[in-house]
Amino acid sequence: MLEIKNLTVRYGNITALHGISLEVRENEVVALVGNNGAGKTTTLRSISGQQKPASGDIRFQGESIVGKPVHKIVQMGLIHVPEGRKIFTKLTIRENLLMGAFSLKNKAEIASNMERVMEVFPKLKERINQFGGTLSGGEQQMLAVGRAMMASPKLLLLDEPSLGLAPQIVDVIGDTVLDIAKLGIPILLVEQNANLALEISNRAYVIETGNIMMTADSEELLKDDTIQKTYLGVS
Amino acid sequence: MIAQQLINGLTLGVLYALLALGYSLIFGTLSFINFAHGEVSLLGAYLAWFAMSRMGFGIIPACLFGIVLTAVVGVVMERVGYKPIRTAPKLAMITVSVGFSYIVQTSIQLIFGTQPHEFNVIKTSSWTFGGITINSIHILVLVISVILMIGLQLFINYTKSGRSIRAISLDQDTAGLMGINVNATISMTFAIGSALGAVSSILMGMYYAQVYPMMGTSIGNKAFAAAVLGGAGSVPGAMLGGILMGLIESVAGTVLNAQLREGVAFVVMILFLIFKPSGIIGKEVVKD
Repeated sequence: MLEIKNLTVRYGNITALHGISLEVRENEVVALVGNNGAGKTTTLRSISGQQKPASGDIRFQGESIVGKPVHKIVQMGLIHVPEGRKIFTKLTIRENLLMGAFSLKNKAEIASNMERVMEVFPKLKERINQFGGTLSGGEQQMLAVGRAMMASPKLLLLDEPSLGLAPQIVDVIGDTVLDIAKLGIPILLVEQNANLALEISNRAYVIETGNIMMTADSEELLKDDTIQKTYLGVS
Repeated sequence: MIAQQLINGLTLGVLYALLALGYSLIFGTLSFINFAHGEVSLLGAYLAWFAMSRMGFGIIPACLFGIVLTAVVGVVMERVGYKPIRTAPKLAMITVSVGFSYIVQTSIQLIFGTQPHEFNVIKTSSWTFGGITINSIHILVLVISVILMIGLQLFINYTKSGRSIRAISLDQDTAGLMGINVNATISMTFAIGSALGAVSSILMGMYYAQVYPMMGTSIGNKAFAAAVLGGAGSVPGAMLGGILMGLIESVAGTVLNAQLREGVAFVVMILFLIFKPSGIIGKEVVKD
């Protein structure tokens, strides 16, 4: 569904990604794990068109999307939930959600997406007319994911959904990702929290200083202590 | 006497407001003050004057000609001058905008001459009641300005394009991730701001019955002060700031003295910057 081949990204003289390749298939949750500064966010920003790659190809549903403007990529159904949630704090929860459906024209589709988001996130329904800024960190993350769901995503890019959240909330976010995956939406999940990411994903790529070091089923990586110690800083 | 000044002040005020809207719309979307806005807006009046007096256009086609071309100039200026440096520090854009203001002002002088041109296009009739005189230009200015301001408010709050302008003013990157075409929206903002500025300058030309090359700078600066007074980045703030500025200026011209009148706008702006920098209803500047 999403295929990245030999993607290289440079910021000035610094090379952030050294020709990485990865793939997300239908009905799959794929984790991209690694330490801070490994190139995880850069990978997602390149996919959603916010960062221009120096070379390499990114294909979504068979079509190359390199060089396409951000809004065109969104219209194709490739939806990016950015790091730090980036909800509109001065808009209400309803307005935030409707903003997520900006590229949709069909009103019935928007209404049914809204209903689906309300089912997955009943907390948002209770506070639908409050400003986004009044939500807690965990609720803001739910709003950010809910907003992405409003766009009828064909594939979701989730950047650090657990960052800065309390441990109990992290579990809730993990369950949410699984709920969305059950709806048949493939997910590329970027996480520093390797344990969480490996628990909720089917496959994983380990990235370090701009290189994919290895890829395997998440279950195997979870069991492998050496890999956890070497690349993921888990002791 | 004061009542008459209030009418004059209100008329001037709505014209400042139309011009201030351009500063505010652009500040809202790109977070910088476009110092070329006054000069670009003045192009509207000059082009309308040119179309009427040199090309034989009727008044309405001439005004539309001026408004549309000014909007095009605004859009081209953004594409050529501001878009390539959008991610650079804001000082770069401000500097470029000062450059543009001189380019446009000098071009106006080169093309249309340095002398004022008479812009006496409307047969004015006036009515006096209770010591207050209202003429047809007062009414024309007030009616057109109020319609445009209400129209702009409705456009920004209730249309999809308006929603994309608001989203970009809140968070440009995230607006893109919502599927909003950021470049097209910014172009549209420049087109709307410049067109409103053109209407303001055309009406201002009719009000004073002339156009002159320094008009853009002097009126533009006051409209800028009005935008700051209302709250930079806020659309209703620009409207309120403009109207208030016109009223303050007119009343000050009578109560104090006519020479001091020109400086009052800036005294008010400085006082606001000291005591309430966010303006009357400003967008709070929160950096996180």
